[in-house]
Amino acid sequence: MRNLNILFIAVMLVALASCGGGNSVSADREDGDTLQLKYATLLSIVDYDGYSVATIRNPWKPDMTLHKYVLVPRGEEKAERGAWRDERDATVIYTPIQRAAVFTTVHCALLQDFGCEGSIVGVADSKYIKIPYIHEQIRKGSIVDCGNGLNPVVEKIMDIKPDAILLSPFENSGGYGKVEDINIPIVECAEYMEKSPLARAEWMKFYGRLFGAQEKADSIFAVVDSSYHALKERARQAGEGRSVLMDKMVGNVWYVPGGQSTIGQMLQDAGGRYPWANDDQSGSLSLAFETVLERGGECDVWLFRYSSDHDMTLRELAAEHRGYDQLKAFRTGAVYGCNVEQSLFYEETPFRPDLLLAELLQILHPEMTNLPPLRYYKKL
Amino acid sequence: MSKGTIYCVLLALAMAVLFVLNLVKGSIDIPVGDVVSILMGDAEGVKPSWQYIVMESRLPQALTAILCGAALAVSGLMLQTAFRNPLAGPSIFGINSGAGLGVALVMLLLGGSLSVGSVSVSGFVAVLAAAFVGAMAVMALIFFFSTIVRSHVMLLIIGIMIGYIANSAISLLNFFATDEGVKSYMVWGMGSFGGVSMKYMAAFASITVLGLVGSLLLMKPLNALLLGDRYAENLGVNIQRVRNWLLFVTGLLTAITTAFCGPVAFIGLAVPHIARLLLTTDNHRYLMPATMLCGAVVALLCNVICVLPGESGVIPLNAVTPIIGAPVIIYVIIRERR
Repeated sequence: MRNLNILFIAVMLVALASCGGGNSVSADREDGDTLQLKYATLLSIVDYDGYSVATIRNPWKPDMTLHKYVLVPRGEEKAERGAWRDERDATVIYTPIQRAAVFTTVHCALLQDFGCEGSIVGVADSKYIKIPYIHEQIRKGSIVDCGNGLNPVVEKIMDIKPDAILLSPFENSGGYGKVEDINIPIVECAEYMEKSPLARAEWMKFYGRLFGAQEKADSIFAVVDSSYHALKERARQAGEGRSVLMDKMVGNVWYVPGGQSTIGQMLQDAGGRYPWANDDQSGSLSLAFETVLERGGECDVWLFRYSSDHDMTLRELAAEHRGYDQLKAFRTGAVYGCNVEQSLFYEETPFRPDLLLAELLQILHPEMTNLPPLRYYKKL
Repeated sequence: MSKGTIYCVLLALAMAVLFVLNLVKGSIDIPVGDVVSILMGDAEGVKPSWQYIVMESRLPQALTAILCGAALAVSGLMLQTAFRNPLAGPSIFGINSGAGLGVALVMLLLGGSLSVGSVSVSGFVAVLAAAFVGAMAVMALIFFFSTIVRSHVMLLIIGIMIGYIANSAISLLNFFATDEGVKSYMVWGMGSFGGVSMKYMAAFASITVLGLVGSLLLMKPLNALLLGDRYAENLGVNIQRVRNWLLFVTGLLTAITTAFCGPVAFIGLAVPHIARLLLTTDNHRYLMPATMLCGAVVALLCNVICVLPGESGVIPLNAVTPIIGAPVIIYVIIRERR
């Protein structure tokens, strides 16, 4: 029994010691040049002489670091004693990444915007990727589908020898399993946890640095930033727009985006009156139909996303739930659906919130002219 | 008056009270006076959306809860008696899993629509049809095996195995499905009494009532079965035929409720035990009506609990039923051990 006690204490001590080590923050050097990020709150990038350090804050535990990366330009890695070798608890990535396994279609699309699609050698869930280039390359054999993104085939990843794996982190997912053990740097794409649409988009600067497309990324973001603000300003001048109801029922529940969610914020930026605008949730609310009918039944327009192999008609929509005909927007026919199977909504909007805002502006302020044609939503 | 009759009257009263509570209480507050005038058809000056909520949402939901609760509970009772297993329930034969597989095929593989020849349905109707077809297919399979396998226990095991096969197909479909598909399937699997709109109420109610009447007709042979197969045969009961009828009635009831409400957990397993604890009898003449009423009461109670958070949302049904169901099962097991 006593031996067991001693063993227990020893184990606890070791555990404590290793915990302490994991959180130590390396001393800040003086010569670091912090890149000014305008919106992103979870990301910081500091440029040093010959390398940069990117730190991702843990979105779920605000005081902790999710991952720290040292970005070392190729050529430097041969140098015997570069200062970057002193960075502790960091994952070293040699830039530009030449061979990447990209497990999210959003980032595949972003790399294509950068003109870096040639560096993609592996993807996951290729069924759901809507980029023709990727499918072409899979057919040719130069891109490999590594299976399900949450549970990829490790042997396939090892076979394609990527410099890095880009994937989306989940809260309490218990790590990435075997993928972590094969000594390939994992880039945790946590931008979807950013609170505002522009903060999310700003992460493209990080990806630009990873893939040697820094200027391109900075210039695309400059466009996103300025056109987003220009559109927001137009919305402000136009005054209050139409009132809007979002999404539709899943089974017996209507998941409504919270007022502080990305889409909730964009509706406000577009000048729409949204019944849940004052709600402080950044996720979604699960509501009963009667609650939605009570608060949003009189909304002028109704926007929802759906997934189908063909465009939905009003009749199909009515068949889904009988209560829909109680909604004013349904009766007046002001219903817009975004078929995520056929439009590039999920691929484009995370990094191009300006395109979505333009769309919302056009729907919520029908009087506005010279806006681009609708790209994601279609009137039913 | 016998104890059984008294309890049946009390349960019927409780059912009536809970039925009213289901109409009055919901996610949004509608004054009781307005609810009453809507129900009386004298709804002038009441908001039209409220009329819709009471007549087209709360009323069918409460009726569904009564029918579904009674149907599942009585199925559980019959199976527990026939298989002499206190843990038998409507989900045990894989009928639920069959319905689940049908729904998974439609939601996850076919993208939410179902085409047979030139007829194509999508959304709710497709899910409904798939669940019903899946459940009936498993039932037909069990029926087929029941002609080969004589032993009750072996038939039970076959049912469980069929359930496993269906579930493995479901996991496979889930693994390769989209986020939205998995989410819709998850939500369906959490059960809800809100699936029957007034448009389908007539069909749902008539099939369910037919099944309930069918079970009442089986009351006598079930009492005979309690004595054991030999005695029952001596009493002139045709065991094989009773078993077939029983499978048919429980299969039909489970299929129709699962198709409309999703796989509702625990009511079928737990409510017969609650009724037995109340009545302390095994005589189906009292036990069966009491079980039906008790099932309706429990279902109505669960349905009220689901909307308790009010404006801030709803709780899924299957998160509520086990809270009432599981402690009962534990109690039964502990009592059996004594």
